[in-house]
Amino acid sequence: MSYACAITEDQRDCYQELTNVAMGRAAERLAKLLDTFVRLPVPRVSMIENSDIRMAIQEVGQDSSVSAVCQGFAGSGVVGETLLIFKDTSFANLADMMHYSGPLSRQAELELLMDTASILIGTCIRGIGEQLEIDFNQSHPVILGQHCQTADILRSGNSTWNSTLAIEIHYQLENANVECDLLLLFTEESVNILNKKIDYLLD
Amino acid sequence: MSQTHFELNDIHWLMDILQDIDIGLVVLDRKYRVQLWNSFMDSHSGISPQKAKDRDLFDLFPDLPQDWFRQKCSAVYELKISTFTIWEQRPYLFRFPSARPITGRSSFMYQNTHIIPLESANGSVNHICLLIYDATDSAILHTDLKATDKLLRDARKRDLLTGLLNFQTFQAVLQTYIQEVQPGSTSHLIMLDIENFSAYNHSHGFAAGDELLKKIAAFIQASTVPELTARLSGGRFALLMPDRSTSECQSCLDKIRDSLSNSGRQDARLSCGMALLSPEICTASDWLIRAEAYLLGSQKPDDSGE
Amino acid sequence: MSLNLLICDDSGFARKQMAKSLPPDWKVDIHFATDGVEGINAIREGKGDIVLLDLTMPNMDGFGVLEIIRREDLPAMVIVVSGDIQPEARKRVLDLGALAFIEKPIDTDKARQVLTEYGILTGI
Repeated sequence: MSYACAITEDQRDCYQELTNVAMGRAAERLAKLLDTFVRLPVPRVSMIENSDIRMAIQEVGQDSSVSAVCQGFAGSGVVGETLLIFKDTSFANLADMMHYSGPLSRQAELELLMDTASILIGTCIRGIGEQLEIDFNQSHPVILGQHCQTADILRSGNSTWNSTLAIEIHYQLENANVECDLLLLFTEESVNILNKKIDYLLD
Repeated sequence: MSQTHFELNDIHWLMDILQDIDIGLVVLDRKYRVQLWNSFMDSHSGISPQKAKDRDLFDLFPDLPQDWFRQKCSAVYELKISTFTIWEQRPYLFRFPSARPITGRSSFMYQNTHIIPLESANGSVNHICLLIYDATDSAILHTDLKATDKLLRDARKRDLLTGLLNFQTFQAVLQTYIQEVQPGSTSHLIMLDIENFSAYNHSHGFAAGDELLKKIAAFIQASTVPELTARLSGGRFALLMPDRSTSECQSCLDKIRDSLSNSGRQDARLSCGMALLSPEICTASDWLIRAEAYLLGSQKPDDSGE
Repeated sequence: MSLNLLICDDSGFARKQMAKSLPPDWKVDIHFATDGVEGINAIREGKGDIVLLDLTMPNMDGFGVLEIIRREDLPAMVIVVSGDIQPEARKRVLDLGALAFIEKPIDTDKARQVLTEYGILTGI
């Protein structure tokens, strides 16, 4: 089945604003946990073709080694996945801020990755859901890779989708070398449902 | 949560479902005292809901990673977020026996957990809910997959018959060694060859020839660092001897030859070439060619060898 | 002479939301700016007696706008309307001279409450 899937400029603007609010809530919680200030960017909203998703993710890592976790979500027929991609150089600083003692092993990095993922993914998804009156359920997170290249995060083959609505948020901590990207990806079928809700808000 | 209203009947059904569902459900208060304990928890822990009620979770399970668990829960309380843990972080929260003790291939149950804040009417969070998922099957599958992957990758690096490194891999090992070794270190490359191996194969059969190769490979591995030994081709082997003097290498060789003759194969003889790493040697091939020259020299009847 | 109110936000949707949240019987001339640079220009032109200001914007963010208003001592009463609800963000904008902080998404009640509290909403 193919879906005519596109978003107008007004819709794109609305997605961006909803994300703004949601990521602000997530940043507030992260800032509280780490006792720091999170610099908020302007989120990027765009439709991405299947063939371009790797490129989008590669831009995130910019050739440096990364660790990534993904988590599915679903609610009111809207289905999608979040990807949280951390630059591996972030972990040393992050460990200090979370008061992790001991050597920074892969295992410790995994804990840091999971802890931040819970906050950033959960709060962001819920924030967007609340504004659209969707109650999202989250599936269990899955580790996509530790210390790998961004190209290795997405294995090629049998992906069944053509295009996706991608919302990209680049989080940076002030005065600390911590950088991560949160990607919210919605399926084409979901975009049609979301667009209806968005149009209602735009009215 | 959605605003659905349930009939009284539905509530009874829901309670039954929560009791019987194949997921562990625990509600804890701020002091980690058990407030709810469903039958999944009862069945796998052997602790009944009556016994668990109001008990300190850490008293019930002294092995629970207390600091770790408190840290996860405090995020749920303080930030009002739900949090997830996966078996890769810790194989389990509660040590339960595997749900498939016979065919499951794990003695314990791998677990994923989901910790949810439970808001009271005034918006404060005084309780949390723990959901325990059995993740044994996916964990075992994942571990199997990783092991198979490693096996496949190893297989490409090794000689299938003897398990020693193959020529290509050994060449790469040598190259890296040459580039990274401290100048002035005494390192040798030993090359061994079964004399008249084709004649041995011819008279004893190929099966016996293979047996001989395996035997010699085992003696070689036992004599030095196994990860630095290779079967290059046919009856030819090589050993990288980092920081070993000529006499140390010689005694290693003697050990291999002794083992061989003690194994009752007096008709198989090993000839040898040994090359010291010198500044003129820049590549793996340089070193291998030099060792081979000594090897071929030693095989001439009128040459006493290096 | 009626008051000039400037809504400064890069999102058209947010600008509309803010305009809709204002008390309908309030007599103000509403102007719009789509980033910090436009916002500052509008304030200099006298279109921003009252400013509803977003923080995360391209070209110049809300912090930048507040800094210029303070440096040039521009006559603008700024109410920050932002999704950046970190306590530190609130503290910074108040330190920079903003009058109040409203958490996004803004609605009629939130707007009326703040406008009344600071005595901006008079004569209704």
